[in-house]
Amino acid sequence: MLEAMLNGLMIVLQLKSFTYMLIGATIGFFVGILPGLGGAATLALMIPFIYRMTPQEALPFLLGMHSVTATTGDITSVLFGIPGEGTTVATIVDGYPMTKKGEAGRALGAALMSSLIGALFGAFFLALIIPMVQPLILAFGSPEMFVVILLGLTCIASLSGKGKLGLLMGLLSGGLGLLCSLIGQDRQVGVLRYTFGQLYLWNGLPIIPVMIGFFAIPEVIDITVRGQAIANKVAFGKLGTGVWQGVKDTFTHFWLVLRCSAIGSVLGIMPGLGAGVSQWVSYAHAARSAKTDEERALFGKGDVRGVLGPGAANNSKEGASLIPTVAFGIPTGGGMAILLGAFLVLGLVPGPDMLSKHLALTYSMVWTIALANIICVSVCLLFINHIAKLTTVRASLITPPIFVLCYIGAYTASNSMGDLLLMMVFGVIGYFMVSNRWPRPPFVLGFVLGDLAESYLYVSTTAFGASWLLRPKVIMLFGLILAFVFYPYIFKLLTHKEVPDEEQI
Amino acid sequence: MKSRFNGRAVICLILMAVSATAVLIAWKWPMQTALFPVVIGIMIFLLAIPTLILLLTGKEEAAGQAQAVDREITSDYDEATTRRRTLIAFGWVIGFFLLIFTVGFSGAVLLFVLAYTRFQGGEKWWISLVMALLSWLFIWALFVRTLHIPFQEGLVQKGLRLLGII
Repeated sequence: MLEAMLNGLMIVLQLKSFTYMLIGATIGFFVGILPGLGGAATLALMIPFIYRMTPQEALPFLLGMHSVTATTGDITSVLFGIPGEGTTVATIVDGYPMTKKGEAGRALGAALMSSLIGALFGAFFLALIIPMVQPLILAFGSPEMFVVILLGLTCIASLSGKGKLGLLMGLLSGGLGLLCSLIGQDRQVGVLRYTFGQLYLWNGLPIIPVMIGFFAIPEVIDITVRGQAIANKVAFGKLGTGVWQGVKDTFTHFWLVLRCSAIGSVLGIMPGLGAGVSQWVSYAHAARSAKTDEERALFGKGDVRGVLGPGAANNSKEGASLIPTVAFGIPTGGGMAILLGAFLVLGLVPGPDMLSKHLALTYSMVWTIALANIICVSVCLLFINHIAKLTTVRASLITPPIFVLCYIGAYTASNSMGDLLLMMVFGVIGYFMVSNRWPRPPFVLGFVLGDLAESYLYVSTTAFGASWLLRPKVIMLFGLILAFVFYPYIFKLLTHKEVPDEEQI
Repeated sequence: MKSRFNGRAVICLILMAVSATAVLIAWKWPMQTALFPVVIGIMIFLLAIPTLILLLTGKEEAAGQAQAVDREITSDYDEATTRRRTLIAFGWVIGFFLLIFTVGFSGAVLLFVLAYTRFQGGEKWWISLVMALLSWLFIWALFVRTLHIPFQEGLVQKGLRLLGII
């Protein structure tokens, strides 16, 4: 095992492999920063380039690119409130308010350092778990996967606000997301649902225009309304000063970062869940770590822990999501599905061979994730002061490029004018939700997972009838959901710190 | 009991209407197709009722609770100014789309950035022009030349092509 690990390192450190990894990481750096140009789409665009490469060159190239997109995607989320990647949406919730307070440097320092720790944790997790992965994957069937999705949704809904009203609004927002995810052709029977005769809607709502509309359009509207730089009223030279504070914050809250990395890794293994869920569950966990109501109220207004949690989780999933892809040929998401295609192009068949005959190559993937992220974060930290200063550029100069990026990002989803219309519709919905203080994160989770939740529910009901509800792991997971919903009340009851009155219960 | 019929309550009512419509439409589908939408639709409708009651009575609002964990929009200006500026901003959003529809992506980027920077931002003409050219160059170099994104032609190009001019 140790020998295979060292051989894996040697593969990555060969001149050609290392050069390809650097090229991949450089592409990934820009792909992550540009909204709409996703890591998965770029992986697909890069496949034609690997035909002449050996697996030892192609895998560092592709993985080097894919593994840094989440890291640099955080930069756009923090600076402009636009998700650079679909996996970096949760970073906006606290990262962007920090930027507006003039703490862009600190937020970026925290996001990058937690991303690095997350990525290293994910790589370590991958290395550790390779020998014992099979039983873990097989332990979760469709019923458990369905309840895990409900758990993710409840986590974020319970976080959406204080009290009963906050929880209800969170659940409603998540429900709306689920409902929107149902638009398009039904996978089971092929019936067209809520398409209203529109061919564009047959394949469902594409995620990128929806996300850009939902998060970025309210942002450009707000910047236009304010007519000031993103970090207004902040002295130009003060932005970069917080970078090391952000790095220090990562180590001050080191256990939180590690716990969120673990969440990212565990959820990263589950096919279909990955960073879409782990970023929100880890955000929920970070918010839960607040000890008092006053402390918790800071989340959403620029608490650095709200940046650290998702930052760590969306990178730690990278290593973990390779496990089912490499070991069973089960891709955990779009990016991994494309990587699986690349494996086949290179003549590699996922399965036992990857854990025996090609073990050194498998470990080279671990090293690639670790090294690409170390290099990427080091470069980012060197130039972060300059990047953060973008937020002091006057609104009249920064807004038009953001507008252009929104429209280009939305359009490239399926190269259709329908994408732009969809983005505008969700821009209006997003703006009215945010201006009326309806939480948006549960909607995102519901929308991302709706299709998968329905498939798991359908398979569970078809295979087990209603008896799947009585499976021990399902009951345990439902217990966990209840614990999440009632956690504040249970905590107060157990600690006797504050006896909840009737209204609170 | 103080009534608080505000934007939040309106969204709640819209959700009730949407979920009811979704259930009614789904009712005609086969069971496998309808199960999930019906369950979700009914859940939304049922959850919306207590939400609406809480919003209308305003108990938790008054206690300063139910603050969404999400970002907040600016409240630096008075209501009339905010509303006017918001409408203008939405005008730019729709205007950019109409420009893309009319002259295609590349031309729209050039015209939009020029117009926004000059008229909304109040920048000098030469700055606006440089911004517009740089934005256009970026789009052309990355998305047109490198990534070969097939941008649709605008009405103007289609019209000129029909007339045989291009």
